[in-house]
Amino acid sequence: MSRRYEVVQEAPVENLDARIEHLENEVQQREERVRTRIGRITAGLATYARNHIENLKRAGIDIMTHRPEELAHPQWRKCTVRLIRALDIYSDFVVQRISSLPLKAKVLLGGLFVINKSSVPVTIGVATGFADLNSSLAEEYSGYEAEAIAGDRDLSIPSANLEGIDSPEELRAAIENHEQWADMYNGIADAYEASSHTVSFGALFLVSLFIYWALRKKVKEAEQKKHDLSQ
Amino acid sequence: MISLNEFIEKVRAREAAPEEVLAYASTFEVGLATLKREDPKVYVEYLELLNEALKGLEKDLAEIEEDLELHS
Repeated sequence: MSRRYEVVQEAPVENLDARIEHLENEVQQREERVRTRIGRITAGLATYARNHIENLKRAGIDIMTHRPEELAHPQWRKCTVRLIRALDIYSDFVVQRISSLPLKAKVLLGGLFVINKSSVPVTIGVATGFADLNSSLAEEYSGYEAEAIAGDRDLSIPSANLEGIDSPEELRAAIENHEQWADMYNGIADAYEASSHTVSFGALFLVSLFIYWALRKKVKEAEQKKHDLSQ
Repeated sequence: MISLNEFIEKVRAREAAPEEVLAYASTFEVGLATLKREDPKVYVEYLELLNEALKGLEKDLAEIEEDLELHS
């Protein structure tokens, strides 16, 4: 797809430097706004996912016993699909700018890339999404589970890094956050599947479970250590 | 995947599609820095195309955001 643009009047040579500086500033500001928007959209999708899943639970609907298309919120589904399409078109550009987003946004986008495995560079997306979270977990489990989950999807989960989390309280908070992420993954996978695209829902679910399980183990160990010290 | 020279030719002819400009902005970062020194006029054209492409991306994302009712 090729587009022609209006011919812009050529700047005089002496003004070229000023023109370049002006355009570079404009581009920089736009890139910043793009980053901000992606961050806000992922946060918005997360809110939709959480609220929707809460509503389903309140309505007494067991999400494990329903087909995804019966559960997906239409508005949220539409937004997710549109976001994926936008990211798909601009993937090379966007992926390289995701590194500056907050971890939560990266994880969510990593999930989106996994879901959209048909065309978005999955390895980059997943590495971007999961790298910060998983480095020491993979060390602890020799990366076995991570590789097993990745299977033939080229979804290599790097070793996890839980640096900065050094108390049971912090780990508990991390687990709570993770539970929200797991909900997001599940919801997004449901929505995307409902839009009749191919979904690696199982991979997402297993990754979520794996992280949850490993974090939970860490909490128990930390609590045991604290208990032993207090004896 | 095209070469830097092919990309520059597309820019010169203003035939590079927005998604190409965005994709190659990162891929050819070093080459484009050289272009800035060696042929600032073409570099200006590249910046104008990049700016337009970013406008398009911003617009797409803005529409998605509106759908999500984030402004309310």
